[in-house]
Amino acid sequence: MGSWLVAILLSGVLCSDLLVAQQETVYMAVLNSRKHRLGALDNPTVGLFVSTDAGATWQHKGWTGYIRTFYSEAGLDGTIWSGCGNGVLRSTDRGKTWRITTGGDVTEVLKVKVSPSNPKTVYAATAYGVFKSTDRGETWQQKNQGFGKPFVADLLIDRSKTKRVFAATEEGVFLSSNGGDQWRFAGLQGKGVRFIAQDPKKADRLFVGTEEDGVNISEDGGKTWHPSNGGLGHLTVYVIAIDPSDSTKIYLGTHGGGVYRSNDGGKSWTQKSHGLQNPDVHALSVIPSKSNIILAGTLNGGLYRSIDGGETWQFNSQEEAQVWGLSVQ
Amino acid sequence: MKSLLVFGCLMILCVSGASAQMVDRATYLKEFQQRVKYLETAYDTSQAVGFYQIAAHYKLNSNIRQADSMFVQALKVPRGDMFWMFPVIGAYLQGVDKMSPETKAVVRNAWKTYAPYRGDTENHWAMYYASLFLAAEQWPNLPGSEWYNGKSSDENREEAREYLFDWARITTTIGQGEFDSPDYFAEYAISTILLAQFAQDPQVKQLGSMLSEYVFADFAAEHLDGQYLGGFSRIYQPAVYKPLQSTASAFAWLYFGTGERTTSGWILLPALSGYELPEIIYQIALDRSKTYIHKERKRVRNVIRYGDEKNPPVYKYTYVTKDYGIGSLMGGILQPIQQHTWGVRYTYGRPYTTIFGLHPYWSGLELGMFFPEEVKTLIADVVASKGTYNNPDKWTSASPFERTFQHKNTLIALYDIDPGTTAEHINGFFPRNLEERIVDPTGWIVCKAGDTYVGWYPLQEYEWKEELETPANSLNDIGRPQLERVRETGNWRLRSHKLQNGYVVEVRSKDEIGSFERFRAALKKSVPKRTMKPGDVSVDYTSIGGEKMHFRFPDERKLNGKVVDLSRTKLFEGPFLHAEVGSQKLTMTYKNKKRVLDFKTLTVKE
Repeated sequence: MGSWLVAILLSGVLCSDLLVAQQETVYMAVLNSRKHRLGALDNPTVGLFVSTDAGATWQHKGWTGYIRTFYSEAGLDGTIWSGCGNGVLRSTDRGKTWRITTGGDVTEVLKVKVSPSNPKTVYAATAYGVFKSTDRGETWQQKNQGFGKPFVADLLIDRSKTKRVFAATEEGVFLSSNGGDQWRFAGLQGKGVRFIAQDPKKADRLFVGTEEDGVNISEDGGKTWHPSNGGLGHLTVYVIAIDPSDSTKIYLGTHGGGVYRSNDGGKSWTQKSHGLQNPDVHALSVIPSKSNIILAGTLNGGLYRSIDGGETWQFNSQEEAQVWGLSVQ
Repeated sequence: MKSLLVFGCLMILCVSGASAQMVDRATYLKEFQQRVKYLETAYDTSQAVGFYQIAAHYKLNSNIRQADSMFVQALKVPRGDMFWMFPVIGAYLQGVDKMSPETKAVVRNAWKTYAPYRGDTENHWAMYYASLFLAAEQWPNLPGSEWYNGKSSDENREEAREYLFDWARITTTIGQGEFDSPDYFAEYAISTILLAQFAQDPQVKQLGSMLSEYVFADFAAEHLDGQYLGGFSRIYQPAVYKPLQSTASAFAWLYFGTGERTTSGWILLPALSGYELPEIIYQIALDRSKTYIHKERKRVRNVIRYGDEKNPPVYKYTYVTKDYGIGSLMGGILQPIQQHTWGVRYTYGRPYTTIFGLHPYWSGLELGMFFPEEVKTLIADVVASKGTYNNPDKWTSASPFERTFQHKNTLIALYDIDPGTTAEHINGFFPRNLEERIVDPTGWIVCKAGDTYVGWYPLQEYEWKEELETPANSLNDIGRPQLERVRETGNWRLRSHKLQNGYVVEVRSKDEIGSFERFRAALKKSVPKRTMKPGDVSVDYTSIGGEKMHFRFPDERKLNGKVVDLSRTKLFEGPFLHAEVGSQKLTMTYKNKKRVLDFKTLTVKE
């Protein structure tokens, strides 16, 4: 919390913005409506949606129309970032106006991650590798040195040492210890890694979801990894969400199997998909202040919400849409 | 009434061009202007509300107030992304000095409030950045708050400029990515012509002019009677089996005077622009007095994963005569969804002027190479907009299990298909209007299409299926159109279910071999020797021209005992076009004429 406040004060935002930033806000990236065709005469309302009531209701923010919004999150200074087909978008007025901060060379941005220690430092995971800005998106540099194949599906900034950044690639996990300047292979060779999560209590405890190999866990900050798939019947794991108040409680979003939950820190998994009408779960969020409320974004089935820790799910919104990303600030 | 009469007269003047002969420059320009006038009039007299009609009104200085009103109406609900951007700026540039200040303000506001998607591929980016550049020039010195993307006029202009020059650089060094597309030719040609005619920046204007020549020259060298020849990166059904339905054929009509008269909207803005094709490109497109081989090197669309290289090379080979052309890509996955790996096209028998074969393949992995969404759901995503993708009867496809080997007018295609692959068969398209389709006892299928003869030797057993009428409302399992809503009957599908498979194709014209009977007799003496085992698929064949071809799947090609090294293929090599890899230069030659496009110096020399 200390670094949180320091970061906000350093960023020089106004008091009113500070108050807004302190609210628990959920950001939902709706990639596409299945009814939409590129160039077709329709205008789906997709892109960024924001909720300030734990996902019960949503407000559309930002661009209307389809710009392939994969993921959105806010920095500690309240700046909202969106990773899109059109590049990295930034809003400093809570989503009223936007600017594409990148040029024509940055496209298909799958994740945007803001440093937890410095809101000016932002990383973008793209189909063409990693891009980094240290001036709140005014300029960007490509950071691919050390990658074999640069497709990066996800990034994790180690909150305990923010120059340590993990990248999820089709060739395994890569790690940079110098803020992306150089990358080295860090395990799970040949496994398509889709998602990386960090235990909110133990910084060295890391989880990854993979394309075909379920969940792998590291207890030593990424030095070694072991599979942990007991009870997991669906091994394509798109997303992992950890209860911030009880990190033994972990949720997985899978392809074909909906949601799985572990109550023992990832040792074993139980399917928790009752009420989910779409089994392809690509986004998950646990609401920090009410950790029994879980949000699950599906591919082509919209958003589902559980108020009992995943035991049951109710359709929430975004019929037939691909809810690609969720984040909470 | 007067304009309708004019239109009627123009319809008579604008003959179809079915037997287009090369004409001198003065005649060409006169006939070109007639075609332009035909289009202008068609859109000026149309009652529809659209950007093309608006542009025609402005250009002809007719119905200006109505055009203003239509423009305001058409901009009420902007949609279409980059497909919205170019007609809007195209119409605006036609009317900028004529429209009312209020209309201008509405157009300006649209570029502030409507946020178009930039797209994910070369044709999208060409349209997006060409349009954005022209718009940024029209409204200079505005802050980011006045543009949909938060960038100032200067920033937008510079970003677009940078992209356009970078696109030119990569295209002229390692080739175009969405190359030779009969259906996407329009997107490039419109973008570059608009820049050539309307850019204020002299360098961008020159770049637009040179790129226009580049894409037209690329087409011209593989043009026959209004058709694009050879393998293609992208083509739709039904244009793949009705070649003149492609948008490139509309451009062929306008600029080459070939093909069939059309009022296609794709050529309206180029027609209005005043852009005229250099004579040498017209001559390259029309002169088929000598048979020739034309080779090209292109690049694969950006491979973002599941590959070792971002833009592997594509090797293309086309053999062109006055009666037919046969062309091929070397096979494999070079483009997702709409690849046309090889085909014969000829001048006889419109609209079905082609014979070709393919392996109808689809997979999430293929799509995942080019699209960043999840591989396990990508098929459904693609089918939502391109309903034929997962149809085993589709007529366009890339396949990792397909390779070709072409030498002159002989082509061998081999397939080694993994069990369980979608789909476990190969298809061949034989049009209904062939004069002959005979199955010879030797195994050759011998076809006659006017003065073009095609022999097809299947290397495995096969069956014939008549292409029955496609239900107009056929839907796939997620409720999307299964095939384009066209009704066709009587074409023939060769289908072979063997996983190790292939065929040999020989094409000759009457001029080349004489009678159809003589062609058939020659084929009887040329029977391929084959090996068809999993992991060991090969054929040895001596063509009816006496050349020994050895082809082993996937990439062992020998001609008369010598290894064929495709990697030596230049960007362009043939009698008309010449370009080295990395050169940023294209040299066009025709008889004693020479025209050099030098993109390094941004100059054109003759």
